[in-house]
Amino acid sequence: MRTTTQILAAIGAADGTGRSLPDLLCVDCARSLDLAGAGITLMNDDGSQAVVGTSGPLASWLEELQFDLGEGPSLDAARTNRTVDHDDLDSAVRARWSAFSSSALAAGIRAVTALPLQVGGVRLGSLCLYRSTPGRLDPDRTTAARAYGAAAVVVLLRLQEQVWPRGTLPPELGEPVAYRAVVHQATGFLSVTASVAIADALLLMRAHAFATEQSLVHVAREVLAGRVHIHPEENEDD
Amino acid sequence: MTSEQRLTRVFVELADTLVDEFDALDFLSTLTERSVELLDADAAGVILIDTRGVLHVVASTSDQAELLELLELQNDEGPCLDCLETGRAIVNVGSQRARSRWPRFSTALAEVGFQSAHAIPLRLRESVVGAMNLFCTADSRLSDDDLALGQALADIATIGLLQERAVRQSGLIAEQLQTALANRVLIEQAKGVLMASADVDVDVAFQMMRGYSRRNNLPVKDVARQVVDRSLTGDQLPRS
Repeated sequence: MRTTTQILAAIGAADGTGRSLPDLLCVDCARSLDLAGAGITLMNDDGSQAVVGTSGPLASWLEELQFDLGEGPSLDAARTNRTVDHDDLDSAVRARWSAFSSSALAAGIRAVTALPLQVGGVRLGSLCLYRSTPGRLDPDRTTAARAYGAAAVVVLLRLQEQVWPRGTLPPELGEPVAYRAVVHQATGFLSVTASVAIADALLLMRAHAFATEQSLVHVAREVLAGRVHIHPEENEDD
Repeated sequence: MTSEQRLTRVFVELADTLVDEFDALDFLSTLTERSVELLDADAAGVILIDTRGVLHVVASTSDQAELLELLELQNDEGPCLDCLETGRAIVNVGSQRARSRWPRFSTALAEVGFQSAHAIPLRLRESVVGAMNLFCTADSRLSDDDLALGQALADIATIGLLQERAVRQSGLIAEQLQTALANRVLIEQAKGVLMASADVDVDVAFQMMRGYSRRNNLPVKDVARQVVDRSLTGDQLPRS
């Protein structure tokens, strides 16, 4: 199993092959820990802000799903600043993340481990490991998972450190954030049309996305195009 | 327990404090206490030198005023000052040697009841960032082995200080990331507010904020914040 330094050296050597460093880290992590997938999500106090690295389409979808639903291991790990470990999605967590668990199980995920990424008391996000077999991570793989978490923090800081001008995001992080731009725009838009607070506008869109089985990004585009009108429930009876 | 076992235990204890919630002062305090135990001294203090060359006492085994004075006095004279200037350990400074070379230091040393003093440098590559000072009530001598052990402890102190600096710098970069992220989100939300309230498309919404930002010499993020909290409305913004 690799140490943080070895992980950084390995993904540094693979840099320039067309995928971003966070992606390369997730690919390396999934391969070395024999995972179904791994993903890194940027978080702040308002929750998930962007999926900045994944091992592939399945992990991308699972990370984005947590944002759409507003629940899941990545979110809990970042929010509580603790490792979230569930060795059997089928049992314990169906109550905790009912929507996320059923979708993840349907996609063949049986266990998840999410590590908080933070430094000096500042929250950065989480690294989530998805496994297709139930059961705990053995001690070796747990140690390795922590090393990947530490390496992910270094990668995020390295990318941010090289930014010029200060106050902007590096492209590797800025582009994934831009993917959700429509959601933030629609949140502002809906806060006006439905006369609700920004945070409530996001909750309304999330509920609509869940009820209509659409992604939040799709619902946001519909809101902005005026093709769907969402109102707080108490007004629907009017 | 042999001295090697004790040393190993100290290393483990200090390595433990080098993770997560690292507190440089706690770390250096622990280090002074363990140094006193391992080297048979009676008091210890860590002094750091700042960029202007001023010495600061950052940790000591006791807050006894006389000990602190003894440490601080070395801004003017004493083995610590010599150690910082030469980058070499100054050990086995007995009362006699002290009296001839550093009369004020010698008097202060005797007043606290110490007979000997040692200063071991905290080295960072070529430069010296501070020193660990040890004081003994007996006129005891540090052997070469003791000195090697003392230097190992001083090197740990330097590692701790480097760690503290790295964590602080990382924290700053992490904060920059979070701020940049929050600003991006805020600006997008403000665009949406203007799209709905001023009935414009996303590009015009941004131009309106940019125009107001330039005219009033305000960062766009501040304009966006005012748009989102509705203290600034669409009709107050310019439409080009």
